[in-house]
Amino acid sequence: MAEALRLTGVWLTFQGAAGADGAGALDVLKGVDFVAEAGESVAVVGPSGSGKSSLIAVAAGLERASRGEVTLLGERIETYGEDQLAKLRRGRVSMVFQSFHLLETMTAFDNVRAPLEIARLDKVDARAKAALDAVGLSARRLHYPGQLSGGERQRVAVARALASDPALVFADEPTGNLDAESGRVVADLLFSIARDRGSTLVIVTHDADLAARAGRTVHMRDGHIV
Amino acid sequence: MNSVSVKLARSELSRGFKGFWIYLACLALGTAAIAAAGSVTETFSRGVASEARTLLGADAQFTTSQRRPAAEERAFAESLGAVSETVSLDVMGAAKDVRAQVDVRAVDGDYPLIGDAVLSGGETDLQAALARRGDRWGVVVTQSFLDTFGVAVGDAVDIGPVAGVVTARLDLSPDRIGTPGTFGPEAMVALDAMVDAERLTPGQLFRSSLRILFKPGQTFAAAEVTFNTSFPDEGTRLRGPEDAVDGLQNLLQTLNSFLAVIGIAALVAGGVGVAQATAAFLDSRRQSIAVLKVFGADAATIRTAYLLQLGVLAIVGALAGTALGAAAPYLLAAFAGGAIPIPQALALYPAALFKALTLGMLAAAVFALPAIGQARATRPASLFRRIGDAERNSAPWLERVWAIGAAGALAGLAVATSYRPALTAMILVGAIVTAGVFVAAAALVKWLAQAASTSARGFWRLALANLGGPGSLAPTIVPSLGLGLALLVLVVSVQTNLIRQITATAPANAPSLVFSQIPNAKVGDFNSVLTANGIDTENPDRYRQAPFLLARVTALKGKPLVEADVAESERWVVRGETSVTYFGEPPPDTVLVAGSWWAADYAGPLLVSVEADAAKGLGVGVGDTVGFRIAGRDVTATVTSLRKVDWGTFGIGSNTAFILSPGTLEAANPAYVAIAKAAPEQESAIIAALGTDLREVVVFQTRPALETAARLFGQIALAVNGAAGIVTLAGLLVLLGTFASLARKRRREAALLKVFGASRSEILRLYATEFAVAAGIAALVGTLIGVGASWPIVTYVFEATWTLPWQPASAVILAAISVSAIGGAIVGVSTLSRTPADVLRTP
Repeated sequence: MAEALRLTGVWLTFQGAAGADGAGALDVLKGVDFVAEAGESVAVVGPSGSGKSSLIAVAAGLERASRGEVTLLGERIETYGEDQLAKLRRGRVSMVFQSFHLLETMTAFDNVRAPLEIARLDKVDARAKAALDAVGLSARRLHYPGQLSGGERQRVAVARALASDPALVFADEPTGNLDAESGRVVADLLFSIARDRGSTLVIVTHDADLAARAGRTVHMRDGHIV
Repeated sequence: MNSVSVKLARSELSRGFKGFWIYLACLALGTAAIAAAGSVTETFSRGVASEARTLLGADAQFTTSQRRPAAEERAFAESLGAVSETVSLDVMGAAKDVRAQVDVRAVDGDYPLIGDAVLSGGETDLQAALARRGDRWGVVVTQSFLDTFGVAVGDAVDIGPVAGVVTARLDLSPDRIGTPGTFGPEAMVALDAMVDAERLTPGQLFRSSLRILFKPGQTFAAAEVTFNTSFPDEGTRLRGPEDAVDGLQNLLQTLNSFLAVIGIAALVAGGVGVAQATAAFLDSRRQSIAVLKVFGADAATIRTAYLLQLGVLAIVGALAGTALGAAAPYLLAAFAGGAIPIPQALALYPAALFKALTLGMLAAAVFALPAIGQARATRPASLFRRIGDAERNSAPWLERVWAIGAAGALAGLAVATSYRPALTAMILVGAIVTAGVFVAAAALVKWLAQAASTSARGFWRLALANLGGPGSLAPTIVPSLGLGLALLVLVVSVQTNLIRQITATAPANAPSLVFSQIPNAKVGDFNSVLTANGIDTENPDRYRQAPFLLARVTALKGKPLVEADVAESERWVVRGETSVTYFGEPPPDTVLVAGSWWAADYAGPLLVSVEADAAKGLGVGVGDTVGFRIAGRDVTATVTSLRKVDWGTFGIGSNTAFILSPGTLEAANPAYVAIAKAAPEQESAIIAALGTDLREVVVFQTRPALETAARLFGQIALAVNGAAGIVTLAGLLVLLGTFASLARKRRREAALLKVFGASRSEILRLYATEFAVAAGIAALVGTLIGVGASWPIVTYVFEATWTLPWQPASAVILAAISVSAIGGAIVGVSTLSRTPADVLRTP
């Protein structure tokens, strides 16, 4: 099985108010090694502030690692610029957020279409429609995010994340803002669609039940994988 | 351009202009000011150009002074077409018990060659109105004449030596449109009346103009060549319609440049509002931008999307402003057209409107591009953690370069299309430096507030912490409001000083009576009349007299005069005729800056003392020669001294450009002029006494003229204030935008303060104080800059006495503080409109 993601000895350090002399600097990740194989699902669990979200931010190329190596879909990305990273992610890397982060000015349908258009994929409308069908929201496709419930918004976010059949999906506390029932529905969709489309799923969560559904679980504490 | 950018732009625009009203208003205001300036001046300029022939009253004209045209000059004129002669002169008018100076035009039977005089109240045909009636000549007079002398149509009046009767009121002379007028009484009589009265004999003061209406096929260029060949030494020239409107066009062009700069200043002040609105809007879109980037959108996609949106909004704002500006001449004509004595050619002027639209769009680019740059550089990591100010404060270099390029294009376009490029460039540089001062002042305010907040306690600590913190008002309010207020204070300060000059300083120094045409042989009698009426003619602080001649400068340093070689500021000395005098001893207050004065009893070759600035403009110094034509004779004088003249002081003869040595000009028996300071009752007595013994002396009372000037200046000042007010309005718009955006931002802060026990009044006081401090400092710095900039303008441009206009300056500061404090309190009220629980529950 090929690797979708590899982090080797990755550090993430934020400079504090004291400046560049190191005083006040905060190490969020401390030499993390992490691998996700293609098609597998991995849950990352750990207490608040342990570095879980930072791990996927670095892995997806949203934060630049302070030290160490990051290989995303076979490409070393430490030296990549923002636009290079954006191009690498197009259609191949997706994300689901705890706070949904839908585009408030666009309908559910356009929210799902937007990443497909950015990736310049073909059959954009058909793919978006299929993704919304898959999460059971065809009837709400012309609604704006403000007209949807929390659970529905997250289902749109799942559809958006998976519509392009990405190789790798990161999910950051995808059920954290949802009630139990909505959370269960979203989790079902996320795992089933990812599995059906052969996507690698890296999911950060506090929820033990959700973590248990992943093929593998890694634990983080104080910036380390333990 | 990819479809995501278009779709994003379209979807956001479809939500309307909510949150963009300040953005649109700021752009529309500045664009409207520029479009209005261009359209209005173009309306007048084209109007004047199309009426140039009417304003000249002919196709060509030439003028002689102190003599009527010679037979050969008249023959030349008649060879070109139809001819009419008009003579202008000042005489004393008398009716009932009133005597006053009258501006008279004596016209022949062919006047006017173009257009018609408009009469009312009696005769309607001009020539019939001016015809002789028994022993009196018909006279038509202006309303000002009727008011001054208290007469009506049918009453007898004396116009200098002419016994007349008023036959109609003169409402309009076709060749007087657009001329400023004399403010005093005017009359028109038949040329024959003045000839019969022997008032137009050579040597007397009058100007005669021969106007020519060309016969078919005759051109001005050909006529000019013939004129210059036929009369090479006359020192006069043939004037065409273009010359007639030169001065007015010049004034209109200066006005246009001034108003255009005001418009650009409004765009700059309002630009802060554009930047603020753009930043606020893009701030609210940061999350969307980050999400798009997570899904692979690159910087160009984001930039294009927001450039499209803000570009469309900029077009809407600039178009709205352009439409308003295009309507300005129509509105002006509808509401004040009748009161403006300048021909108007109402139309849409595309060039002026396109210029305004382009400047508006460029201003939008200058102020919106940096914020777009910041937005497109949004890091997707901001979805995971708060990105600090330090990480996102600077716009990427590309958008900065674009913004600087747009600013350069804006300044370049403004300068290149200005009628006064140097003036426009100078004012733009001044505006940029001033804006820089305000940006620095804002940074200082922020820094001081931050420093002071650490030692302050309670309420003041909160206010100062807000002012010194990341969401500080200072960088927004100080430059925008400060720039507007600086301009307003500058205008008010100049105006206050000039009005004081006209109403207080000038009357203190100026004579109350000016006498002209005192016959040379009767100077002694004249002085006796004044002495008998209580004027001490030996006291140079109360009375002065001098012989008066009109001279034309014909040569400098032995070479014929070329007007173009004379400095623009000093051309008044050589354009037409200038007054000259002669003295043995230097007049009181003479200050020589070079050379020396001649002996009191000097009687040798002609010498001249030249006013220092005029000498510099003419390029002559001590030892050089100046050629004059005086009373038909050519004379050459050697410069022996240069004088400094204080034009604002009490003087006559001393304040002329040229004072000649005695011994030569006495032969011309020149008339004298005199000035005196007299009490109002003395003025009446002197005018009455001269009416008995020295009727030919023309007396001019300065008091009414100064009052008229003060009133006129007040009206002009009001219009200028209105123009400067546009910039302040732009500043207030920005202030309003700040209030609105802060009301949203401060809602959570206010809710928390309430949770921790702050009362409503304390929160209102907190915001009122914060706004008042920021606006107060903007007003203080703006006032200092405005007052400071007024000093050189008052002192050097208007050559008046500058005093600190502390009253209007204090009023501006107090008004700015009050308005801002009230605005701050309104922000407070708005933040308190929702309950803390409601606010804090919302993520």
